[in-house]
Amino acid sequence: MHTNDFESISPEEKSLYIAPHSEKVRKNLFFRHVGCILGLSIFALLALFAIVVPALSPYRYDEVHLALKNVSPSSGHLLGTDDLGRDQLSRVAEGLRLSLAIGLLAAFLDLCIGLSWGAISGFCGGMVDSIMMRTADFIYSVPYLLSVLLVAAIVGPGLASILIAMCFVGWIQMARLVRTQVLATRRLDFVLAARALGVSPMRIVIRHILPNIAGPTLAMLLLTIPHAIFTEAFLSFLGIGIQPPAASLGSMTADALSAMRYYPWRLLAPAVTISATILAFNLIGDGLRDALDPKQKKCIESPYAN
Amino acid sequence: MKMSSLLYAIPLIALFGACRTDHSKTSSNKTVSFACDEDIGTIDPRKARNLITINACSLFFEGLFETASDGTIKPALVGEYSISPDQKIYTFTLRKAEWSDGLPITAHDVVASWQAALSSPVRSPNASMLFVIKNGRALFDGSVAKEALGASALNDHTLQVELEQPVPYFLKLLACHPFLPLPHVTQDSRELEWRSCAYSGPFVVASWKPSSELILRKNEHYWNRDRIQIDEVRFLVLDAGTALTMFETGELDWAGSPMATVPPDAIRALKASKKLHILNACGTQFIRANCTHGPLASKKLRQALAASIDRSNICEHIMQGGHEPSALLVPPHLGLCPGPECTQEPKQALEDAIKELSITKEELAKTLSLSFPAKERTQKIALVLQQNWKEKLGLEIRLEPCEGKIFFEKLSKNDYCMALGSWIADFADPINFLEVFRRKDNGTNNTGWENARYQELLLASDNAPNQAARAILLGEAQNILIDEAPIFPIFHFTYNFVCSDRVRGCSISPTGLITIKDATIEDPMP
Amino acid sequence: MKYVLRFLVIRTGLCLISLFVIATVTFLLMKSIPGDPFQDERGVSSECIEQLKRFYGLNDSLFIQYGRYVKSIFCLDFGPSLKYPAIQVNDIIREGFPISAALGLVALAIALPFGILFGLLAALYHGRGIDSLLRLLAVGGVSVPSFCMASLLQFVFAYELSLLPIARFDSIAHMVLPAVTLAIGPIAIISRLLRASTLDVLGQPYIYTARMKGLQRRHIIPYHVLKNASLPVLSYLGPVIANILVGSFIVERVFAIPGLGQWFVGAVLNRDYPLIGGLTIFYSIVLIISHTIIDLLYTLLDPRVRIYAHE
Repeated sequence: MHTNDFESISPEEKSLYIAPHSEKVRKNLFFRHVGCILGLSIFALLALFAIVVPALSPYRYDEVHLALKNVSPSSGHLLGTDDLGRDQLSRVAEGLRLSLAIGLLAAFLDLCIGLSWGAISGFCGGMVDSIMMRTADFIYSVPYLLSVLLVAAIVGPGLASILIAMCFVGWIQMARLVRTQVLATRRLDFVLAARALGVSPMRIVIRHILPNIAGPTLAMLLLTIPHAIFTEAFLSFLGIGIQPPAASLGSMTADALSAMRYYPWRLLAPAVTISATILAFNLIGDGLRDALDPKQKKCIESPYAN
Repeated sequence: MKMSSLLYAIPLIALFGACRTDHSKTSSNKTVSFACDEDIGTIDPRKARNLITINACSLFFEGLFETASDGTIKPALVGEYSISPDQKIYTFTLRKAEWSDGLPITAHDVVASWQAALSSPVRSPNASMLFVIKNGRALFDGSVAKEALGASALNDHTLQVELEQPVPYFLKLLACHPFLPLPHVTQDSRELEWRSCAYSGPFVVASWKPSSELILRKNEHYWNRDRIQIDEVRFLVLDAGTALTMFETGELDWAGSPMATVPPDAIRALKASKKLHILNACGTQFIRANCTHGPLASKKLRQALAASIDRSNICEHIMQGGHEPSALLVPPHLGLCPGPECTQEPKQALEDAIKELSITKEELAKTLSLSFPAKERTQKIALVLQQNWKEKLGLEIRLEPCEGKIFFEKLSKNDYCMALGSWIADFADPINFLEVFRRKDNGTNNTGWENARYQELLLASDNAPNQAARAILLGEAQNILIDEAPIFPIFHFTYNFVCSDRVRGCSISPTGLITIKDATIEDPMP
Repeated sequence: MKYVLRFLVIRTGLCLISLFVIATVTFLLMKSIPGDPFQDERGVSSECIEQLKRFYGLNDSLFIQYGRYVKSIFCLDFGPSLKYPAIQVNDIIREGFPISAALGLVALAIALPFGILFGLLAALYHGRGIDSLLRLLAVGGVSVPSFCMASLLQFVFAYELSLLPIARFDSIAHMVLPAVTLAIGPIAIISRLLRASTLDVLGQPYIYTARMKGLQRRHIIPYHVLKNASLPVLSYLGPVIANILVGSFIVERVFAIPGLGQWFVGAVLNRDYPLIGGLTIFYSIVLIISHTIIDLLYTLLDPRVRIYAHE
């Protein structure tokens, strides 16, 4: 593609076209991004924590020792104990695992549903697109809290209800993004060429369109994970989240809230961990989005950055 | 009209809500503020189901009798009374008292209230307490007319009540909320309207903002108004942590039981600073066992499970509020002698049960589960119970947390294996506890257990010649209950609350009523 | 003008369909929840429950109940609440909404200026220290769970430092802490969105042109940069405004605000069907209105956008 022809494409379409010569620039941008590095290092630390601690800790996360309840951090219990005498360090590590698992699972489910919905809607266009997006809008209009509570009440408290409740509405953002991207991509030349050649729509979507929208979609995915972890914390606060003895960071934070004044370490440990996790994912997601968005290249030449 | 009134709320007149002056701020110093867990819901005592509503109703409606803080019954609207020799007919002479709209409170009002509670289309859930009156149950079922009820007004000030059979605790019953006389104009209506209702109690409802606050003002028409030293009572709906914080800064006078809870994490600090008050309550926490569910039909198994609960651990570490570990249903301060000590070895009893049922231990463990409402404290109790049974009996039992309404529905349909339960007495008498398990189709029983000898003893206690004999009969009934073990009692409740120093003389009766009639305010000198 | 009229007419039509669909979805969800609204721990007798169910029409067939529900939506009268039979659902909404809305408007009044300021600064000084600082602040703001933030703020500012009241809604000072708690999330997201779109706008040719023409920075930023950069932010704001106006359950519980948000959770936990229905429809109406206002603003800011122009 000649540079001149490149300029004549509309800005939306330009944002999607992956020009080979810009890979290097893209990679440089990604890794020079301070926030991204910070996010990745925090994530690495957390992952290490989640893997190492349960292996090395002498306590299980659900070992109840009533006589040792509410012990402040000491040599025996590095992060203290909670109100049933369970070791906080092991619980936070276990909680981190569970929260990460929930976040990743929920984001993955959102991706599957949202991607297929958005791709079909965007690619088909016209009436199908209209109906599908309207339906998504309707579902989006049910108050989030109500729908979550209703689902949790139907399914019962626990992991399944959290996942269903989160995915009930969570896929809509993803679907909207994918649809916008697909709508823009399908009018590009290479797609038209493929259609002219008689390639089946399914193949076009999977092999030609999806790789081109992978960037923003991935960024969105990475931003959905902290939202999922956040929502799980909120549901645990309402009492319909993870049930004991299983521990998630959200339920630990919610339980420790009333103890904030008397046993502050019980709140500090899970709250800091959950904040660090959400922070890490947000930073990585932001970095990824900045790096993959070709429009951002121009920002280095901003007239005000002197 | 309704459409426009709703649309009125939407535009940006919202700011007026913020700038509105709050009238509750302009009250005098003689105000007492209480924290509540949730809103009272209704001002109709016929519908009152929890201590919050019962307490509120007792403040603006006066009963025939009232409960003092030590649990004794004192006459309120009743001046004098006499009981017939066969213990079935009570004659009461009412005091001169009037409603807050100036009309006198007559015996006709009382009779009409009770007739309405039993016969109105309202269908009060508390109506069963009125069945002791002759034809009470028949009136509720609709088979007799209103006038056939055994309560009649001989004249404006004399009330005569005829009972189905002797009820030794009838006066205690009369102090309970279903017997509160209601104003004549509103008995048959579906709902009492707080703005137009006439009140008979020491306070009247000044304003009610649902889910936010209830403000009561002193009733100038109260018959004993000189006794009341408080001008205003406020019930504020607050989160437990927020309530405690507000108490510590002096904005709240009372946090905790009976209308709210003290956060468990705060108890140690409050005990250390000597601010926490602990009083005995008439209530017990226990585990219900579904006697119709598989292996639990075996008495030995139930006894084994009951004997291996570590009650003192639960009380000391989870409840922390001075709760009394107990294997009895009736709190000891109600005067029943405990039966012989249980000498069952839990492991031995389990072995016997397994042999009897001819299944293996693993199969047994698979069928057992414990259901409970998913709240903070009950979750912890359930976890500890699971651990107890695992350590002492080697049985690993499933935990089934349920959401509130689903849990109650399961209970009512007997669709559970074991379930956490509790009973808080309506009046301070052992029979109120024991009656719960009288018949297996009681709405309150839900265990599928009943026992002929138990029912005989309860019936005989009504006809007992004196208190001592009655106590013996009821004690024996309790022993049967504990031995058969359809329930495994864990501990007796206590009231944990904090009360500010400026409020003196305010306490809680064993049944959970705040005795504010004798309270005084002593503001420190500025 | 003709465009606006056409837009409103089509939008109203679509809204009615939306409401109808939402009502149906809510109704189906409500009827699927297990649990009896009238049962409680002390065991209510079955006769009592039967009679209550008959009064509220819960024994009728699903079609009749659905018809009644749709009728109540059109008349905007949802009847008495199940749990609080003395109180009408309409009264609950009428008393609670102004308070939640007042709090929400104050929160928005805090969130919008700060969010726009942070986003603009971060974009204008892109790549420098202040950009990283603001971005970290923004991300940090959404990293702490809201219930944590509410309790923490209450503890630090109201209890420890005694600067502000602890709870309830008696004066303007009572609004500060809840409004700040509500504003933190939107500030973070507005600043992040605005930063991204401002960076995009700054690279556009017309900004170069404006600069070359000699226009002052203080003219370019509001009229050229902000006007174009705020479009993505607007589309995010639609649901956010609705959520904030209707009230946040957490904030209202921790700060004891007698608004509308606190009723949501209780309504579901108590199986209060009329209240659930009423709250859902009310929220949907608020959401639809806020979307409509946002869309109109969109067309005002960007004359190229014409919704429904092709239909």
